[in-house]
Amino acid sequence: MNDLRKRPAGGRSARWTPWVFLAPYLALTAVFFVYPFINAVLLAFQQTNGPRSHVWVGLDNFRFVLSDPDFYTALWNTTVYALVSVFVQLPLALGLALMLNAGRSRLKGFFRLLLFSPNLVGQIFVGVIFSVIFMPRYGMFNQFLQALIGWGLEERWLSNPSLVMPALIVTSLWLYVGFNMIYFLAALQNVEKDLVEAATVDGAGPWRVFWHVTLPSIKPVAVFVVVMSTIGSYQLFELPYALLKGFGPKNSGLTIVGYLYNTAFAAGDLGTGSAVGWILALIIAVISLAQLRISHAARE
Amino acid sequence: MTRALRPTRRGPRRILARSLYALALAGGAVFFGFPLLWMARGSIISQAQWMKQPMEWIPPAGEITFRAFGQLFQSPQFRMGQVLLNTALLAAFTTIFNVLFNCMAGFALAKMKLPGKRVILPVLLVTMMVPFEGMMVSLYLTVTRLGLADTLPGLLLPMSTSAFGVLLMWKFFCRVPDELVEAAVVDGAGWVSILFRIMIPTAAPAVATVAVLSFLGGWEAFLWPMLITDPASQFDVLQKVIAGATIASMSGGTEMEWTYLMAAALVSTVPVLLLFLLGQRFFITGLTSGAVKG
Amino acid sequence: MTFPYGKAPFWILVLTLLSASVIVALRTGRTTERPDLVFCIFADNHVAAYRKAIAEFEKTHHVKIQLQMLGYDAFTSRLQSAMLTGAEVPDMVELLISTMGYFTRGPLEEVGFVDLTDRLRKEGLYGRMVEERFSVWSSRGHVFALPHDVHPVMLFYRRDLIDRLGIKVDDLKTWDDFTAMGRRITKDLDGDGIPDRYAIDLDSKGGEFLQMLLLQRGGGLFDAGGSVTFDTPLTADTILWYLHVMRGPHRIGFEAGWGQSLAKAVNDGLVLFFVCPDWRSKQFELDVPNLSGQVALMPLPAWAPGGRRTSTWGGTGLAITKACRNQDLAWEFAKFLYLKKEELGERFRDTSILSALKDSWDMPAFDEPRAFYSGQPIGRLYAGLAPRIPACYVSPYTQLAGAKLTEAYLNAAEYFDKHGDEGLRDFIDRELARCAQYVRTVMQRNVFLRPEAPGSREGAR
Repeated sequence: MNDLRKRPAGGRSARWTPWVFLAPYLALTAVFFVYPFINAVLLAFQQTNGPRSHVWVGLDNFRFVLSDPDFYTALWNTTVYALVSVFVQLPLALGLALMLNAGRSRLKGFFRLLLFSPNLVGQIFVGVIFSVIFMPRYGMFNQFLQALIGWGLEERWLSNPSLVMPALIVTSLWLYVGFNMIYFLAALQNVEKDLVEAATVDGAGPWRVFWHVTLPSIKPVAVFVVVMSTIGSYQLFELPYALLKGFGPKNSGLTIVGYLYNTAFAAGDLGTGSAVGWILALIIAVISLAQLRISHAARE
Repeated sequence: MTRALRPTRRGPRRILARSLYALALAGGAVFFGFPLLWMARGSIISQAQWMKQPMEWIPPAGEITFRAFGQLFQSPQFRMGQVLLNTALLAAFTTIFNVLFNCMAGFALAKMKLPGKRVILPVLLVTMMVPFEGMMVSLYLTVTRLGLADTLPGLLLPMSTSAFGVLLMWKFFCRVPDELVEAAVVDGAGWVSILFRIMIPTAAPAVATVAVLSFLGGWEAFLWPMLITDPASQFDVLQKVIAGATIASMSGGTEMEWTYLMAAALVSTVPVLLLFLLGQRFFITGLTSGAVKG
Repeated sequence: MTFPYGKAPFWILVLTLLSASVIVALRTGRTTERPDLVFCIFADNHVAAYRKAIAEFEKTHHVKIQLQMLGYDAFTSRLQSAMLTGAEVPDMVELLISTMGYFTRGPLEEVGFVDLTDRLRKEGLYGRMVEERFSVWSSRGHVFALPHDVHPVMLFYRRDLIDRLGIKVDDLKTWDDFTAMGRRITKDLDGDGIPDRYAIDLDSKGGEFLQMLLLQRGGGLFDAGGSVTFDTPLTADTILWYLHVMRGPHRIGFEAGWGQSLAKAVNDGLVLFFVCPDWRSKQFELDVPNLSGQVALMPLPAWAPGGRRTSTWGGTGLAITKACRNQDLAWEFAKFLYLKKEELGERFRDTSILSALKDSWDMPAFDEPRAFYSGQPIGRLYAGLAPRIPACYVSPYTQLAGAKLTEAYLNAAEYFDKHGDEGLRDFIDRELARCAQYVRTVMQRNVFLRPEAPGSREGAR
């Protein structure tokens, strides 16, 4: 890193200048991150009730969470959701991006707007709107299915435990495919046309061009999107909360953050909630490090 | 069509490919477009029309009403005028603070001589790794102890910097050639004018990223406002009000008409949609520059 | 000079400045005088009645009372958090049954509400009010809120359609009678293989409907001592019955949902009966005014001949927070609001909610025939059932126990769909035992509720 040894004109001592520039960030981080962070560490080893009662319970909060079947339900749901995000939603986004990249630019503009607008609606609205769309008998989705394949009119997407996750996934596709597509579209625009042409002249079919030219050149973006989707998936909360008005029957839509919310806020056990927060942070750290490591290994 | 998708042979295969292409796009348009259309339709029809089975996609002219919009702005449950204003304010302040603070910090880290720099990087990384939800509980306690619960600073300040933003600006500022900065120094420019005249314009895409992400974050904020502001607070934001109203009506509490909800969704989407249309290039650069050029 | 970053940021900036100035302008006009009492409620069907009462109380007592109306969800989470951190809370709050438990999960001395037990006893209110209702607002024998209502449950039905089908509701004395009738009338009318007429609306997940039925039979999630009590043969029997009503080819129940979707289902004749506590009777009346005169209420069928023909569902209570500086005034106001006979009669006319104060049922409003309910005097009907409602004990773990009961029910439903009745009963017993055990485990973790619970002093820093 190249520091500027010379100070700018004005002649004032530069020793404290960088701190002045850092001050807002540092102050806000100290108050709203470092202090609560340390507190959260301590809280995870306590049971509390109100501002006055604190009882140290050692590792009991962690022990309980790690032996709680509900926690594993949440972990499983979240993992399923994350896998679907990476292996279904992202390929769909990429596919759409490829198709649009080949099409006219006006078409591209239209679809970009259309697919991005769910993001402007916001997660809560999307959840609420889809909870109406999934209504048995009267919901648009159910009537559509019934008309199309003769099944689904009375299916309870949001209260049948085995249908909750599919409903959540359909909703998340609607919300996020467009968002991720924008990344892929941007990346595809940076793919060098010469390379593609050269490969085509050499007789490579579209698949081979995709595998050997397009994919390698959008790889950095792909890695970024995969990591972000995974982290986002593990932090999922608002969408199921609004869609299911809670977390679904038999916890079928319970995510890790939902579990945290339930223990800390719905049941008032702040200590256990903090412990869950720690476990979640650890999971996310491990997964994102692993993903980065894998992509590095693949590059070499 | 470009070469990548052009089939190698002409004739029936080409037609097949073309129609598949069109079919896929049409399917996409239906899947993504219909809920939006349905929402727009729901906002301008009467309750009776909403309940009507089977549904008429195009409501008869007599059934079109804008009552829902009026209700949204008048009813004490929604107070849409105030709530929209609050949300806009929160989004805008979040954006301004994030851009300003993150740029300042990134600048100091990238271009200034700073003895403690080694300590700051791990702090940044840890801040990025710990999800907000993990900190939520004790952040809530902290803000409440500071007496900032249900105040604008309490709502805004925890959202006004981000480690991701600082790291991004740091990275982009490092790429600005030192010669540029030195030349400015020779011309007699101070640090502040270097930041605003040279650094920020040169790293415009990264600034756009910080701006767009924090704007969307502020506009769609839900969890933090729900915790930190009072119910029926003067600082209520959109997502919180809607979540409160719908969940209450679903669990057998106060009844709410669905057409109101659709109108609320429309009202809350249109302003950002307009912004998106106005600055589409800016938005797209903002969303992607961190990934594409990073 | 052009703005360097394009239009979007420019407009964001303009928007900020605009909204900031408008908000500042709005704020400055406000007065900050603190009223004598701040009273928070969540149900807006009470607002009009309370506004009137407040105006009167303010005049006679020369005080100022501020009424805050809040969304239910936001209200509870915020009040809960405020109590946890000692932040500012209102002086009086109207609580829902489902949230009460939350506030009593710590040591008794740390419950954020004033203990009303002595006041109730001193003023002889135990005898004058429906005693079972104190169960909802108690923890370890102490009462923390004044009960607002009784909430007896009846069965709502489409009188016109039921008459046309030749059914006499007086013959539906037990749930067995009811299911036999239901099997007859649940039918596919248009031949697509899906029934278009169901007997009754019930939650497909069991949920609060199942709990209400359990209460009717004398079961429940918890007993008076706060122990988990849902792993009993009684619960298993109820689940068994419920499964046969809701699932399989002979089902007679359909989940019509709440609010508008229920209204639509009843309007269309998709369901003919639904479970109707007093509060729901008014809601429905407002939702579907066009059904006036075509509907009626009947007592719940009993579980055994001669058994209890009602249950209870939901409830509201008025609590005074410990932060309240003038607790005597608050108590006066609470009594004014909840225990004035004449007012209560009037209020019943508006809300159809039965007060827990027994003398109030003598008011003429309770004998008025209601045109919507085919001329039935529904006040008299509900009041007639009210003395027999079951007690309903609430615990900090009510929500958890409810969720676990639902889980047991849904697992049983899955088993039933797959294997039918074969081994079903054993399976239900096992599931109930497992779920109850889970709740007990979680409860045992709470150091504040153990017999040797550390008091606030010991745990204080």
